Amino acid sequence: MSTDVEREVKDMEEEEAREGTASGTAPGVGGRIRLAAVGLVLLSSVAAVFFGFQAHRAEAEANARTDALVAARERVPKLLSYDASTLETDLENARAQTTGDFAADYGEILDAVVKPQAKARKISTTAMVSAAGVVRGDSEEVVVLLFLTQTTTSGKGGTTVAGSRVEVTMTPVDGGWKIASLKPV
Amino acid sequence: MGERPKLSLGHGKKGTDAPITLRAAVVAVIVLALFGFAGERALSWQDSRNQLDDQKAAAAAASAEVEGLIDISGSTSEKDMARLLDGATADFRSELEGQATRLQKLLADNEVKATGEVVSTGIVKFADDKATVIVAATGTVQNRSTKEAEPRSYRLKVDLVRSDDKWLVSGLEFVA
Repeated sequence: MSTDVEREVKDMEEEEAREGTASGTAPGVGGRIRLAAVGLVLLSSVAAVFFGFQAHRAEAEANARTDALVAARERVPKLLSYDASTLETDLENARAQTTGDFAADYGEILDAVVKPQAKARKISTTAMVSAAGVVRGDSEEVVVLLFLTQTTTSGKGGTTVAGSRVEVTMTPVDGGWKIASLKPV
Repeated sequence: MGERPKLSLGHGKKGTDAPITLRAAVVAVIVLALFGFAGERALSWQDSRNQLDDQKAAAAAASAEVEGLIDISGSTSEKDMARLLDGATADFRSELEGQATRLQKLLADNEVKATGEVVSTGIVKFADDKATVIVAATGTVQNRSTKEAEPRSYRLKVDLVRSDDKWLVSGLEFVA
């Protein structure tokens, strides 16, 4: 027992002595330990940055999907609803829900088709979201599927109710999400 | 730039163990902290990816069940019916089973031929072992009294639960 301990202590002393003389010359034990330490620091840093970035991106994408779904539920009814008596402001509001090329394209449809028709026939229409869910998406773009129920009344007194399914693409604008395209499916 | 402060890393001081040990301890703590952080973030990333995969699997299971329901005819085989039942939870299964025989007779008597396919799915709600998916589908329906197939569009809300890594339909309703 005691001899074992003595030998161990002696070994350690020898090792220390070797380290002492080796430092400053060729890479001895101390050098190798230092190299390994630098390697570990580098490796752990790279791992921390890599996984930190990936996890952060995945969290941001999940948040994007949640936020875009909420925005779509709120904005799509505004996009597709108007009242004959407040047509100008309602259509202006509809246009404000859009972004990108879709803003110009949809604005054109509103001016060329919707406005004259709604005026001439005193049409009012309300879109309601019956259900909505996320199709796919990341931080740049989220596609949302919506089941809409559209109630339309015209001056003649007729009321029609129609159900539709649309996919809207939401893109981030100034910290919020706006409609970048809408297509029926 | 002024003169750089000299780093006293090992070379400068010979024979003094204390700084080396202290330095080693500091390095060890830093390395452990970095690995700990990396490990936690890796798990979080893994969780996110798993959740996306789960959502895809739930949407696929909902689609399969919906297609089984809308792509149906008098000649739909027992096997297709069995597949439909296998995609359902015990409760929903018995609900389906209760109507399956009657439905099959109805389909056969009226020479019903219905086709359909899912065009889009959306995740409404998602928790670890529960999901609600909406499914948009289109199809055609033809029976003895119609000359040609009439187009149909469907809006469905499907509830699913996970059991043994498989998503089963626990409820299915048409959205009016």
